[in-house]
Amino acid sequence: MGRLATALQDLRALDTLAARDTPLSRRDPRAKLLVTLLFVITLMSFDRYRVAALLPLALFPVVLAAQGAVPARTIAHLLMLAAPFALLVGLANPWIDSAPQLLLAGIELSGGWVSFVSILLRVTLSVSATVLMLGCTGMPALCAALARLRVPQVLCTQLLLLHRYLFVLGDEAQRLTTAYRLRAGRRPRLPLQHFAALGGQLLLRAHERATRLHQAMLARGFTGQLPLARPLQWQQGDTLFVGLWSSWFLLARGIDLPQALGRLATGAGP
Amino acid sequence: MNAPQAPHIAPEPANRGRRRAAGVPAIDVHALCHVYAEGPAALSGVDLCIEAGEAVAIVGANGAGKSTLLQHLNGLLLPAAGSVHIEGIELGPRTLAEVRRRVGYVFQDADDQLFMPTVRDDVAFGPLNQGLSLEEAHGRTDTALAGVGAAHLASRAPYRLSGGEKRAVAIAGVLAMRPSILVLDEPSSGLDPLGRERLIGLLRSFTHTRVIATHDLDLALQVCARVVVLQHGQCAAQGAAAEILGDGALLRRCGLAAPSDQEPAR
Repeated sequence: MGRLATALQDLRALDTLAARDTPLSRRDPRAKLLVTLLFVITLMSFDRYRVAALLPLALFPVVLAAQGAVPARTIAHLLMLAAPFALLVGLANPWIDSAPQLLLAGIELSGGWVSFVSILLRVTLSVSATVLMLGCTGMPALCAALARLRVPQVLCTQLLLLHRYLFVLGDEAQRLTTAYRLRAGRRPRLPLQHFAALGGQLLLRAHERATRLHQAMLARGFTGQLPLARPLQWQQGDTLFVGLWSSWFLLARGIDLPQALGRLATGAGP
Repeated sequence: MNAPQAPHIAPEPANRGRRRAAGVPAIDVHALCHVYAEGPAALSGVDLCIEAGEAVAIVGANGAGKSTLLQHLNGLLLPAAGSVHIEGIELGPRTLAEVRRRVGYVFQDADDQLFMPTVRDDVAFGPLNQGLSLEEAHGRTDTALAGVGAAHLASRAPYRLSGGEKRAVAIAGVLAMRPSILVLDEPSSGLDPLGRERLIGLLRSFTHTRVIATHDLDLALQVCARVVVLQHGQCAAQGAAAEILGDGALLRRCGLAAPSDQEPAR
């Protein structure tokens, strides 16, 4: 199976996961969305040289994965999709910022390497949390939650259709590349000069398919708002969910817990 | 698709009589024309009248205008010239919602129709769009799925189903809206022989008005009492299924091949 097919399968797996009944999927989508947003904001608010202080925040995706029974394999595959972007953002740091920043086991690390590790950790944590939230909520419920949180309906519908279009585009790309490979003979890689032609074909075919999908939706009474198959009901458990996690994020942001624990263990002063 | 249970998924009784005087045909197409921007006329002056409860096959070679005609019955396309009346209601921008409530459209490629995360959510999509409560929509969903023998697929993801299962779920998605008219575009395409046989049984069991565009003339003969032959966007012939599908010369002239011997529709 090609990389594209695997990536699509993992994205589709999220939709399937969202339909299951787990403690996390029973939480109101708005609660999950709010907590995940808070989590990402907290992560991004740390100084770029902080690494150890981020570790207590890893508790959030770990607990979500356990509550949502999301397979580690799915999270790992989707993390791999995001990895190139994180690498692209952070890879230049060791060359740009060469001032010594940290002494680790006798080895002096430059600020660039520390910030690079920090970026990788933040991306890993935020992507894991987002994937878990999506996997235990589903795109339709997430868009409904956004709409209830006063995000304009047209944006929510666009987001939902974009999510569907992603699969349409992916399916078409898969068909095109398979058709190419079957007749490529000794040239398994697509030559550069064919990229533009295939890209155009891909967009045209995906557009036609998306039009048929839209027609099928219209034929079943779609008027621009996607109905929700499960009601949104904010319960006490959701308030507790938001409250507990927000407190944990504030605590992790306010106090360097690993450092505090280290000092406690070694008896070092403040 | 298991044994169908048509009585559960019969059209909504209220649909049958509402705003429809006695004697008004279920579908009345008059001098219908349609031209696509990039090509010649897809339909040129098609006339068609279908009574309530009738099963009519629309046959013709590729490009004859079958799908274009079908898309006018549900308002996916609006007439460039001529008119379409559904149970007495003239198709137009203002009557689209009402027409779509009455006419259920099953697409040629079931993958185009199924897009929600689970089969249950997908079948409930139409009823929820009709403004039904969650309880009512789920009730209809379960009934429609049972009706096409797909109740056991309710929690499955549509993209993991076989071709026959997808077709059954796509039909259930339309039946859940309780339309009085069913329009099916190439319903047997991509099905294996057993799936096709089950589909024929299911289609025969329905009491809805059925319009089926198909290349599968055996299916047309077994399900439909009447056949309309389209050629170059015009009605080349229409009449009793056995008579039309028994006319080898006509079929060859219209780019079709005679069906094998099958038990004709009632």
